[in-house]
Amino acid sequence: MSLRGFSRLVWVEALLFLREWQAVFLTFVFLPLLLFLFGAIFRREPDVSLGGFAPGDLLVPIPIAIGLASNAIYTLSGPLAVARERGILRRFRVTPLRPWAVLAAQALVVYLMTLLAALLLLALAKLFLGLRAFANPLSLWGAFTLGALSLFSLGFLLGSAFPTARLTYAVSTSVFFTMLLFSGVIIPLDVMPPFMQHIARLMPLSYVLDLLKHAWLGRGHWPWPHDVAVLLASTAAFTLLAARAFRWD
Amino acid sequence: MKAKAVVVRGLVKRYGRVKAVDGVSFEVEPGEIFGLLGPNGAGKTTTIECLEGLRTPDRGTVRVLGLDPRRDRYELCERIGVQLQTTALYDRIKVHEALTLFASLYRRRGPWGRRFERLVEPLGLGSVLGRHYAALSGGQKQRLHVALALVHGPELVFLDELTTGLDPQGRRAVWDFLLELRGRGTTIFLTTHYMEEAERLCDRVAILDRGKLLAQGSPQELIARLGGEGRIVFSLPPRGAAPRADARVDVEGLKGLPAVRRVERLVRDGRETVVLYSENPKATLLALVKRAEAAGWPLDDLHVQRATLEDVFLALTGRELRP
Repeated sequence: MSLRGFSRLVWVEALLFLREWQAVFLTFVFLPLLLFLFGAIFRREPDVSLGGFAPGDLLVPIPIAIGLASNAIYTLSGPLAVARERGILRRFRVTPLRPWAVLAAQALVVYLMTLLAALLLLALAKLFLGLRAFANPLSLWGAFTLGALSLFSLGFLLGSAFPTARLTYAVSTSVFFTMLLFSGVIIPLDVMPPFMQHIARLMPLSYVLDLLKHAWLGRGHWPWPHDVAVLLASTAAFTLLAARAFRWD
Repeated sequence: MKAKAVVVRGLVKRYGRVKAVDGVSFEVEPGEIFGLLGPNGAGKTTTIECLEGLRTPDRGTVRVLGLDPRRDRYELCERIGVQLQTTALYDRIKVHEALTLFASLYRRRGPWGRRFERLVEPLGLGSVLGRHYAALSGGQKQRLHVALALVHGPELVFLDELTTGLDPQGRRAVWDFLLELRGRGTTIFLTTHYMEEAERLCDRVAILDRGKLLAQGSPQELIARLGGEGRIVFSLPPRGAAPRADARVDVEGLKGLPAVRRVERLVRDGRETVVLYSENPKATLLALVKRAEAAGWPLDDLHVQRATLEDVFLALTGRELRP
């Protein structure tokens, strides 16, 4: 397989992403709406209780984390199962394309689209929610990328583990909503009862959000090296399991 | 002498306790159209998928263009083209995007021109290049999959049930294109349960039934092996037409005509039809006409049919080759 082939595949995957209106809506419309919804709920001026941050500072990591999780589930795991079930993967298998290339092209496109959405969220927060802090862009990008690695590899694991596309969607959706509920994106970790905090520790999304907060606000629920270690370890584990579970048909 | 395009020796593939392919051996010469023939479930797709590297044989050896399809898979994939029996593409990919994408996956470039015009025009896809895959008809999808198998100008093409779902016109177009391809030196390996396709296209065929190879050779050879058999067919007068009693055809007595092996009586389009299987149709026909003239039989719709691969299959298995 050539670089020409891989870049053509990435290009086609990008076109396919943009032609899928659900994915486009979710990524570029729904996440900003979510930001403004949270903004309306927490409409307050920067004050001592917010630690000197503007509402936008506190809120913007949330839709970014949700964007990573929803794209991992809805544009990686589900469509992977569909492509397998319909025989699309089989067709690629009788070309010189390497198996990882198909997944890498998809992951790369979804990564870039989500990154674009994150930049859009930052711009909107800056314009309308009074963004104060501006973190070191490099550590913000690092946190985002680490989160993408962990959640996307989870997406590929979910997309490979089940025999049918229906089942894949059912399980993936349950995983997604469980993560939303227990990862501090809706209910902050600090106000969770202890049993929920225990469950939160099992969710990769908890660490994604926490690391984004570290990068953005310089503080989080856990120490940031802890977040980094958990995300690296979970990426390794999910990738290993996904590679073992992967089937062409 | 050029190396064989495909060599299969003692191929066995089991699914659980069922032997889908049971000790199959054959060879394909470079530049020929080779057809694997048999009813559904005969093991055709399993065999072709072992050649494509999609399945691992339980026993036996398989060499394609001198390569081992499992060990040398990527090298082999560069040189072959494949149309799978059950496959699909992304719904929202456009036809020209699919062609460009698949073309970019290979080192070699096909001789089809910048916009693949020499590939898509003969296959009747020229007018749908900008259409989404999901918006294509079944026949257009099938022809697109044939085009994708050929897009890089492979040395050897595998086509699994290529004309399933094609209308007669589309079928002709694909056949003509394949014959033209062979003329340019491409080796073509196809499976089919469609006899006309095999007789029209294939230089050589192998007949597969229940996982075993029953015969192989050119269609003409296999038909000739039946002993030059042909069929003489005519219809009996409709019931109630009350022919003169002495003009009633003595069907049982026809067995006594020269070279007749078997007499069959069947109802076709509401008319009773008689079929004489003959090892020497000319001799049988002459005797039949003489007898009919003497007895005053009408012999409606009298005609002679040459034996077909269908008859070969029937003779080999005692069953009709119908899906």
